[in-house]
Amino acid sequence: MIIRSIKLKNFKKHRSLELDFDEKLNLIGGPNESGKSTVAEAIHAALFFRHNGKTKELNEFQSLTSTDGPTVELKFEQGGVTYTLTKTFLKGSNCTLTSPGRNTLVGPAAEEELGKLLSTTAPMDSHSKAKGEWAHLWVWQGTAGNNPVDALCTQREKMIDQLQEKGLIVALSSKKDQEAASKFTTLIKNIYVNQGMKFKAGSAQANAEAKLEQSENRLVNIQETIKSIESKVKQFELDRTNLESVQRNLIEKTGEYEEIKKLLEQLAILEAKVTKETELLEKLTAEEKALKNKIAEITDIKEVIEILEEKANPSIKELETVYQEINDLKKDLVQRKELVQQLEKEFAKVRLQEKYLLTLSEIQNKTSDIGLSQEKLNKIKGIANAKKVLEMDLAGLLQIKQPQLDRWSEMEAHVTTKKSVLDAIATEVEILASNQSITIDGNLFTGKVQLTKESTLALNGQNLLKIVPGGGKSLEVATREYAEAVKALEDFQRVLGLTDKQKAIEIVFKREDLEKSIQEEKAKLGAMESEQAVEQLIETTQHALAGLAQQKNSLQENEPWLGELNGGDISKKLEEIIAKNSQIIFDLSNENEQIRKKEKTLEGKENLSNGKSSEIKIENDLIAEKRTRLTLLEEQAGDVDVLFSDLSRKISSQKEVFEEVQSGIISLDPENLRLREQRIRQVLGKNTEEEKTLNLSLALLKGELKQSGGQDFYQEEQSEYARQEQLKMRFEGLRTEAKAIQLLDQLFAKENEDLTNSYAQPFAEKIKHYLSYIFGPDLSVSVSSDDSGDFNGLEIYRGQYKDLGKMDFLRLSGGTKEQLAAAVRLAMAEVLAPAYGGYLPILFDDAFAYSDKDRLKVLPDMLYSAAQKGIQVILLSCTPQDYVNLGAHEISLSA
Amino acid sequence: MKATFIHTADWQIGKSFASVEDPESRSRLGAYRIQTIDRIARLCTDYQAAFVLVAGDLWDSITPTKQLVSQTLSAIGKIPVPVYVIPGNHDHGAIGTIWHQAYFQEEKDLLAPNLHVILDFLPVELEKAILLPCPLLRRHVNTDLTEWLRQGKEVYEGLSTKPRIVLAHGSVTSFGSESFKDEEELEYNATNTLDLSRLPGNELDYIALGDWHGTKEINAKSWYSGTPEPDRFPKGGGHDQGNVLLVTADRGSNPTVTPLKTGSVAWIRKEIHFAGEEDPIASFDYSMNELLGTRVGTDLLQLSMTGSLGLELFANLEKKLDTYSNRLLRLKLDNQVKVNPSLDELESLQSSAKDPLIARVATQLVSLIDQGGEKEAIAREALKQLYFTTKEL
Repeated sequence: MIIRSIKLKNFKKHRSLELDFDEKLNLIGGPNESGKSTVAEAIHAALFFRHNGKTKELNEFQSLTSTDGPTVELKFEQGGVTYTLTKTFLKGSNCTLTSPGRNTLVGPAAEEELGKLLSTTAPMDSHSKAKGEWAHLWVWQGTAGNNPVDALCTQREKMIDQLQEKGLIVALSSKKDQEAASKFTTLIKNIYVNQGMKFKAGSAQANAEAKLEQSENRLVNIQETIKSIESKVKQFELDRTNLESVQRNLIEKTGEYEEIKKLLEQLAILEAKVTKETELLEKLTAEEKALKNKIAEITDIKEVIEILEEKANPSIKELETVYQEINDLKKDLVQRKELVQQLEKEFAKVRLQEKYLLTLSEIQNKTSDIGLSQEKLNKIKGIANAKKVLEMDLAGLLQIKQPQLDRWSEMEAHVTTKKSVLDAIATEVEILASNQSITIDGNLFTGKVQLTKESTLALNGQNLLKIVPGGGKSLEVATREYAEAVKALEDFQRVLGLTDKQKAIEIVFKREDLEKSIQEEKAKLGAMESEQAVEQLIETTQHALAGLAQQKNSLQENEPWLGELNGGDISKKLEEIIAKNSQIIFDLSNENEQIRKKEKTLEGKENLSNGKSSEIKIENDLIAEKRTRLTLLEEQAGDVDVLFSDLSRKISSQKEVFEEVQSGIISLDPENLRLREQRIRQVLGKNTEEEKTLNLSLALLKGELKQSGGQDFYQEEQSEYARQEQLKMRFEGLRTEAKAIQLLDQLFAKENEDLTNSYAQPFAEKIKHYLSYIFGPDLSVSVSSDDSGDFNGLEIYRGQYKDLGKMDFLRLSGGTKEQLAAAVRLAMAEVLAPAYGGYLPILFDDAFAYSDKDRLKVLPDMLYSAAQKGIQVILLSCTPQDYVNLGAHEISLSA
Repeated sequence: MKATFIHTADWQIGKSFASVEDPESRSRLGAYRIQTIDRIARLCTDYQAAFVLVAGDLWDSITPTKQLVSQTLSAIGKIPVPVYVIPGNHDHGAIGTIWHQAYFQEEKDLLAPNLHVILDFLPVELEKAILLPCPLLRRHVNTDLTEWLRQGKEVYEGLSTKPRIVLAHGSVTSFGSESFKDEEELEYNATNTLDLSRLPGNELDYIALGDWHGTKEINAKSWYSGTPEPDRFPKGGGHDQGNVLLVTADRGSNPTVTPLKTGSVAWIRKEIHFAGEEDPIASFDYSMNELLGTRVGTDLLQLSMTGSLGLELFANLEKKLDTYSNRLLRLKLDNQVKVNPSLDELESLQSSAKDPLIARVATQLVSLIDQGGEKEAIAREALKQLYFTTKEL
């Protein structure tokens, strides 16, 4: 697009302005406020603002002098066609687009067509998108130093298209490329963790590795088991060999032992024989000794018997005397005991008599007691009757007592008092002399009458006088109180049932007399036992009497002779019997004492006789024993001399036999034989022990081996080894696969980066071209991009400086910012121009305000170069003299 | 007197085939081993063998399951001639092992009365031969079990003129024992060594050896029969498994020995190299077809592959391998084939003007592959990932 001319009407400060533009370089000069920027705004508005818009920005275009809508007529050329675009905003808004040989388009149709011309990719009539696309071509006042990278990013796609179309760069990675790359990235993420250092848990590789490891461990375990089993088997075989040798040794030693045992048996026989012969010899010697002892014993016994007999004689005489004494005592005792028995019989009889008499006497006593009690009872009953009569008399009298009598008097006095008060106050009327019938208040009246109230006196039935008694209130009270007193007295009398006071007094006295008499009788009764008690006593005594009679009868029934005692003076008889009783008791105790004494004496004598007789018995027994022994010894001994010579002969022959056996034993060397036996026994014991230990060890080993017997460990080893080989192969395969995928992932990342770098390079060359006017040719520029190919930075290296590098735009100086941004925009415009018919306008509004003089000198060269490459440069400046050597079409605006 | 008999060993009944992952395949492999006994029975009839010698390792372990014991004894019972067996290192004859167990004894009496277990170092005189057994009574024996056969002339004094046959299990000093260290079989035991050179050759007519699983002639009189049913991938050439030996021995002369095929399972090793054939997958298919035909469930294949393939071809190869691994009892694979993008594939990755990033990454990967070193394999894998990932996008 080339802008050819512009006409403004009522557009801000411009009422009417017409400007033509050169297709390459244009410089619009003029002081501040001359409307330079307004021209830029007008071109921009015509191209990118919809005519019927209602935005604030459009309002700002309103003319200061006219109310008509601001109008812009823009002539531009695109693709060899010249278009005339006319837009009126706000009031009377309108839009037309004309071009030679075509129908004039109006309103929305015009806007639509304009949109198509402006935008290559934006949807039709989307002005805002187009505005965005073109934004980099408008360098507004004060925005020259903005970071151009943003613009770069938005235009990247379009630029790439342009560059690719020109064949300047290699294509960016395709969709398939990206899919492949991401597929490998996904795969590798599922295989590795920890930056490719470790297989991810759950991945085929990790699983295979784990299985392989398990298999390796299992194999090691199996091999260890085999080792252990083999060592056990070895031990088993060793133990068996040892056992065999031990058993061989045992057999050998057992043979030797058997031989020794035979010799030992011989020895045992000889030794037994020796013992036997020795015993025989000892027996003979003992016999000889016994014979000698017997002879001595006989002599001894004879002596002893003599001595004993001498000692025993006097004791026998003594004993005979004692025996006599004892016999005498025994006789006396028998007589005495008989007497005692007689006395005791008599005593029993007397006791019975006594008891019988006591019963009789008691019966007499009880009978008299009952008579006395009966008398007493009669007396008590008499008094009780008298008392009862008195009480009945008392009950027949009115219940008037002294207090009631006192009360009566009191009340009479009260009536008298009240009467006297009334008498004193009341009017007394007295008929002095009249036989006339006089009535007061209708009552016949005689004598005196006391009036206590208004009364009518009538004479002969004719009311004569009305009498009003004086005293007023007092009379009323007195009258009432008198009446009350009278009534109280009458009530009292009624209650007592008596009006005669004298009679009342008599009653009171009589009552008092009666009460006194009753008290007296009561006192008499109180002094005596109660009637009941006496009756009970009589009953008890009668009962006792019955018991006694029974007792008497029972005694008499058993001993009828007791009946003799009935009658007469019982107490005298009792006295006599008691005296007789005491006599018998005295005699009995006397006789018993005698018997006790005699018996004691007898006991002493008997003890003496026992002692003596046992003494004599011992001596006699001893003598008898000795005699018996003597007789026995003499019988046993027989002919002592013959026996003695016979024994001596036997002894000497036995000694010879003994010596012969003894020599046989010595020839066997028993000490040595026993030592050998002991030694062999030890060896045998040790061997047996060893055999036992070995057998035990073997049994244990056998058990252990049997335990693992069900499993064939060699086979398991084989099987595990085979499994391990397969697992190893599988793991190797998976590992190679993993490494291959890792390699692919790395290569894709690296190649993608390289590709991105290389495709942006042609564009970077263009930027470099423009920048080289400013920074000189010793320069390298590259455009960096992210993974998806989006530009994200510029890298600039200047030969003589080390200041720029990866661009941190904000840190550059104001001037450098402006120049760098301009270079980027020019490069972009150059790249993009072919999409707009080979040309694109670029507008700089006071865009180099911060550039120093040296830079300003070289800027025209940069702009000129751009103009040669299809860029229509429109430069707005308040210092147009700075660009004199630009050779631009100059337009001057005045304030 | 001549004696014709069958010499076999290393039946290893109950072998677990622990390295085979699929349990069904494992049990099938086990079952094949018992079926082989039937085949031996038929050979006895066919060749009029007088007896069968099993030179150790009849069982795979000293404690086979009761079920296996019954099944095996039943199969042995069907062999029409006596069977003489010594314990080997796998089924040594220590107290408590299978040979002494009551269950075995009872089942043997009932199902295989023709089976004779030899646990003593004493000559056993048969109708037509004299056996000189060297049974292994423990897993580890440090002495030479044939030692008793070189104790002097008195060992052989009084022996008749029947052919004398040594029965032994172990590695011979002149020949490496059966010991490998791979997942097929860990180093089992290399201590049971037999020094055949010191045996009095004139006194002996045949040495029936067990332990080495391939059929092997040590000298004219000494043979390893090998296992009658292959049980591992062959180690090197000439490792011929799956045979028994038909032996005719005579006193004082060399025996005649004829291997007879008995194996039914094929354990195959194959190496394939991809070196830019026009249609490498087709030629791979062709070789496999040649090797396996259309057999399913009878073969085990140890396949080592080298060379390089383009990305698409490599993916196709992987598909093919999946198919074969399903047909085989086991596919033991060592796939060293390098992924090498074809020019077209590279072109499609690198020259995509539309997708410059993918192109640039591809170029970087190719350059890494060219540089070689440890990153090469990773770069190849990455290129493969890139190719198939972008193909899907």
